[in-house]
Amino acid sequence: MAKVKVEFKVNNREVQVEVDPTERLLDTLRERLNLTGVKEGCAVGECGACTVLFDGEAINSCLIPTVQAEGKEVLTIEGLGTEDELDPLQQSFIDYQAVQCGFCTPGMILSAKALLNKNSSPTREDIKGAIDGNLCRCTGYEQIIQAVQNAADGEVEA
Amino acid sequence: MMNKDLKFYKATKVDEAVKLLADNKLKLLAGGTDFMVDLRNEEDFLNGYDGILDLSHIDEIKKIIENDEHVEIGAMVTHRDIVDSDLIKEYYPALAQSAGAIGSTPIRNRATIGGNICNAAACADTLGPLIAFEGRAVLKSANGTRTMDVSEFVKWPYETGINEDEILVSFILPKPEEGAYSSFQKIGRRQALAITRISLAVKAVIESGVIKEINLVPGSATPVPTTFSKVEAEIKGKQLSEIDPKEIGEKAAEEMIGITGERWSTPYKKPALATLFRRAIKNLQEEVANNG
Ligand SMILES: Cc1cc2nc3c(=O)[nH]c(=O)nc-3n(C[C@H](O)[C@H](O)[C@H](O)COP(=O)(O)OP(=O)(O)OC[C@H]3O[C@@H](n4cnc5c(N)ncnc54)[C@H](O)[C@@H]3O)c2cc1C
Ligand code: FES
Ligand code: FES
Repeated sequence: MAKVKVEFKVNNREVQVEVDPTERLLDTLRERLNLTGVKEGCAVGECGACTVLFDGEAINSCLIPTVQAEGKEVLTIEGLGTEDELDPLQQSFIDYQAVQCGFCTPGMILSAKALLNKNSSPTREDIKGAIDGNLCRCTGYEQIIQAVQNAADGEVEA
Repeated sequence: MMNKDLKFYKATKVDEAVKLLADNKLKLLAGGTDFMVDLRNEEDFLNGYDGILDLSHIDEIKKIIENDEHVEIGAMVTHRDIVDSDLIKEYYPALAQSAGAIGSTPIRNRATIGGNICNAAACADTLGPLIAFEGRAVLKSANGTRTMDVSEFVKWPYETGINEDEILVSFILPKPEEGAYSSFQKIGRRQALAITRISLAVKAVIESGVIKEINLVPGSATPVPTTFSKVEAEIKGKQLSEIDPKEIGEKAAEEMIGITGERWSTPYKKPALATLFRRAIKNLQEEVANNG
């Protein structure tokens, strides 16, 4: 297919790419922009490993053609926190041992980030709802929910 | 093989989009949640097309508009927008519930109601409620506008009444009458085996405890969701409190088999559908009793 020029922001940086109209945002981020924190699991919208924020909302980057990113702001796990200081969510995932193999973690944290951006004191149900598109084979979710609660308002239900 | 000359178009206005469609054979792209999965699974997905037309920048079809007599829901309204809309929750609870039952948060953030209906899977969750509310689909082409009942729009799984030069721009739903109730329930998830999904949309108008109107539309029970008119006729005009939910459940299962015949999935679907109808009638009885 004829290539299309697409300009958008990734982690606060302007980028310009030339892509086939069917190229997935997932591939553009991983292969052209070297943002390999975005993971490919199922490739069909079921697992959430590829979750990124798209104008602040969690989406599956395996289901979005890059051409639809024109003018958008994309946030990947690489854009959260700094070299010296982690985002509170990242620190909290470490503190609560919410990371085991780590494959689901970038997507999980970004889904939680989208929630906390809108709701600074979410309930357990709010947290479960926000990560309903992110599968984790390792942790059983409990540590993840606690990590998000801790990052939000420090009140963690055991 | 992918056609090397396929072109990518995007429109910011419906007029612009229908002009492009008049001159080219284009595959429409909305939220992409079905499109991208099909593109991956079907080698010939874009065969025969001149290109792709992206509708995701057309703001005029991302709105929910209330008029005197009806509400118009743009085709590019996402399931998330529907779940968040106070207007939809107040007037069309079953539609809000069905949108909330779709996929996951990231899917709902992106997937549109127009895409759900145009993709026309037998399990498209918003289809039952749109039929139950007697919605109409508004279709536009360079030659003009026409409307069609949503119940007529889907012809067969994955087949609709849209022409190749048309775009679905919106759905028009009549405003609810006094005494209107509605609900949506679903059993099962997409991810699990296909047979484990079945749903029911109900819209009823109750006056002094009597059922004046009732639309019962199960999803995934029949190839194309349709109103269960025999069960409806059974209930209509009766005192709600005198209806036996269990009996209605059994009649609904019979009506399904009357439409589909006995199939490999019948042993599962029959009790599941009966349960949904029984629960729906019970819930309605309780809700009306509480609203007294
Ligand atoms: C993981 C996952 C879970 C899902 N779960 C559910 C679920 O629980 N329930 C459910 O019902 N669906 C589910 N779906 C299916 C899908 O998300 C919905 O059908 C969705 O509403 C499709 O909308 P879209 O905007 O993504 O459409 P797209 O994928 O962009 O388009 C779908 C089809 O409709 C056509 N089209 C789109 N818009 C228009 C228009 N305005 N005019 C004419 N043609 C148009 C396109 O050409 C395409 O053929 C799921 C999908 C995934 C990947
Ligand atoms: S890789 Fe995108 S949801 Fe699984
Ligand atoms: S930590 Fe292994 S999948 Fe979640």
